[in-house]
Amino acid sequence: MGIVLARIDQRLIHGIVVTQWAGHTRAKRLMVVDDVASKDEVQKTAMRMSKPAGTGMSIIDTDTAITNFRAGKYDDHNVLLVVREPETLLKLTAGGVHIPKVNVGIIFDGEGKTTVKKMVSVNEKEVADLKALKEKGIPVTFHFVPGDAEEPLETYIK
Amino acid sequence: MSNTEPATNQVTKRDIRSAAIRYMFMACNTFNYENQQAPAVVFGLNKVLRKIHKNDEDYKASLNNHFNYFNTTTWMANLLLGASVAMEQKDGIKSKEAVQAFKTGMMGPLAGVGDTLVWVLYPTIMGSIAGYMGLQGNPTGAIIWLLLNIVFFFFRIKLFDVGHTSGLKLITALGDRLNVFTEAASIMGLTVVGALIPAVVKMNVQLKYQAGEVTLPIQTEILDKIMPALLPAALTIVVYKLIGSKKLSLTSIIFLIIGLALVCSYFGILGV
Amino acid sequence: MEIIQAILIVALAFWMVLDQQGFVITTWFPSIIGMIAGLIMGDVPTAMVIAGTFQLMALGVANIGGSSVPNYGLATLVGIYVALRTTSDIEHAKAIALAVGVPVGMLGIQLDVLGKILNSYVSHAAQKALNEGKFAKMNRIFWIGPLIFGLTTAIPTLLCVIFGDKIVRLLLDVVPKWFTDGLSIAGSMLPVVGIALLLQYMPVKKYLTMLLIGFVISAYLGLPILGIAILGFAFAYYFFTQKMSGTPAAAGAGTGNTSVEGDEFDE
Repeated sequence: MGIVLARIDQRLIHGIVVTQWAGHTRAKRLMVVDDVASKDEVQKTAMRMSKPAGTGMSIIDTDTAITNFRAGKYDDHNVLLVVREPETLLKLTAGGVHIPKVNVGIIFDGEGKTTVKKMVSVNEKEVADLKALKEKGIPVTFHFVPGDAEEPLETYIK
Repeated sequence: MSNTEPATNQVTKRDIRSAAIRYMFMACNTFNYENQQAPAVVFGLNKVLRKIHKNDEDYKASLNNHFNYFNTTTWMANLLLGASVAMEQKDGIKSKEAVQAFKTGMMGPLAGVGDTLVWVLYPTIMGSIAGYMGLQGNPTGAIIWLLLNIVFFFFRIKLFDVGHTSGLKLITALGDRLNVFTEAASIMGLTVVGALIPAVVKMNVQLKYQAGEVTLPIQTEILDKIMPALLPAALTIVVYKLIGSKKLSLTSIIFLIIGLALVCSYFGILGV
Repeated sequence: MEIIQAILIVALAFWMVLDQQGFVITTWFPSIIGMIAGLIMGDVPTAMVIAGTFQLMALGVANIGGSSVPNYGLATLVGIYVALRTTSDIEHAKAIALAVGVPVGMLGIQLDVLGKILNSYVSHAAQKALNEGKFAKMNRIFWIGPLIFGLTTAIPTLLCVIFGDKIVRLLLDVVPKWFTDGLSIAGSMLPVVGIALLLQYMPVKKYLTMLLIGFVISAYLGLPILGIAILGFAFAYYFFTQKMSGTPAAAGAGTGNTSVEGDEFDE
């Protein structure tokens, strides 16, 4: 138990996450680990509004997440983790948090980014971080909604 | 802010209303996989932003900023975009980064609650009622739905104005209430959906059970005696499990049911 | 008259997707589209039966976050048009609408994806015009977007309007009765798809009670849906007021948290 899926999604907790992924992963807790969002009361309030009935929600920063996981706070239920950047996941694994699987949902387009598939645009750092996650033996896939076909990292990022 | 316009620029209530309607018209009609609703945001706001940014270069910078990825429930977007306009009014082009951070930070979370309410619960409750009445040839449910949509249309225009005058105070003021409201709507939705199963899923077994002199119509004498709508309930459970198992796509499941119905019709197992 | 009806149906197809993605007044939900199509074709009751079937199939189908879904509005529209052109018998009409509507509605997914791909070019062209300082041109370019999306539904509808009823008439002469009956039977079974899909998103485990209450009242007592909806509203209202009175209105005051529910805060 603990984390069942880590999703990289720059919209954090939005419609598809609450209506589809939460059910698909049978999550008992939706968790956002983000150093910026965890300090923004308005964002937190808005995300809490969308909490599906019967699930918990945590919006915390990376250090708190590591501390809580170490303390075994989430061991007894399924956690769906959502982060903005692959780097956050690297920090978590370095802190000893077990991540069974990573899926890439949405990474925004912007300066210095290449669009690799619909909804995903990456820069060099993100590519390196994704590869580093894979090297740690964590399966990394592209998966926008549960109904789509799941595609491994190599499909778009060589 | 009060209703009197600041003297620095002449953004009137009318400009705000027109921006709201322009965005609402275009919302997802320029949707693409790169920047999603961004073109609609530019289409919606460019008139009002022109009033704010008199200088061409500032105007271009501001619109280029709005050409960045944007996607949220269109109803909620009005609140966000209204607040964004207010930010640009206050600080001019210097607000560019702040506006961008604000939009990208809030669009996901607002879509979480917005999509659930607007695109799942509302159509579920109205669709169940309108669909059920429709099966009896009655358009009343559809008419009520249409009228409600018109009410919501004006409510959404208002949301843009609320965002413009008081930012996201509405969200913080609502706090957990909206989440409880969503849960309450789920309760109502589930009650209606439970009722729909026997009301709209129909399966009539034509077979008769022969035992010597006695013939028993299976549907009326056996199945209905156990429980009304036994087969529809069973079918619901089977399809629910099928969808949950993710082994078959929804399209395959639909064609599977059509195939099953054709086979049962050919062998006279099920009748109209 | 027939020509005018055909034109109006194609126009409705064009408008339907723009409204769904914009104003959300007439939407593309089958019930509302079916009602308008029924008015155009001059047979509202039959149109409503067809629309009701598709509406229930479409429950739980939400085109959110940029995902593409089967276009049940399109299915309803072409289904109603072709069915009402070829038959006056309701069971027959249902079967025809399903046979024509389902494949066309599924095709809607691909066309929607295509529309979203093409709109990348619209966005780029508009941004280019902006940076060249051609602001009026930019605003004109945006209108290509709705034109593309309108055509994604108008073109298949136009094809069905031109060829649909002729093909269906030909087929009706050769198709045996068990086949059309089978389609009618499928029509009465298919609402299950919408219901089952919806239940994936709903907190079924937590509120199974409500689902069962709704089922029992409908199956055993035969109360119409509107009555049960009001009952559901009563439960919802009770839950809402209870929850609200038990919690301070201040957001995020860590109200009634258990270890599995509610939020946690970074201290």
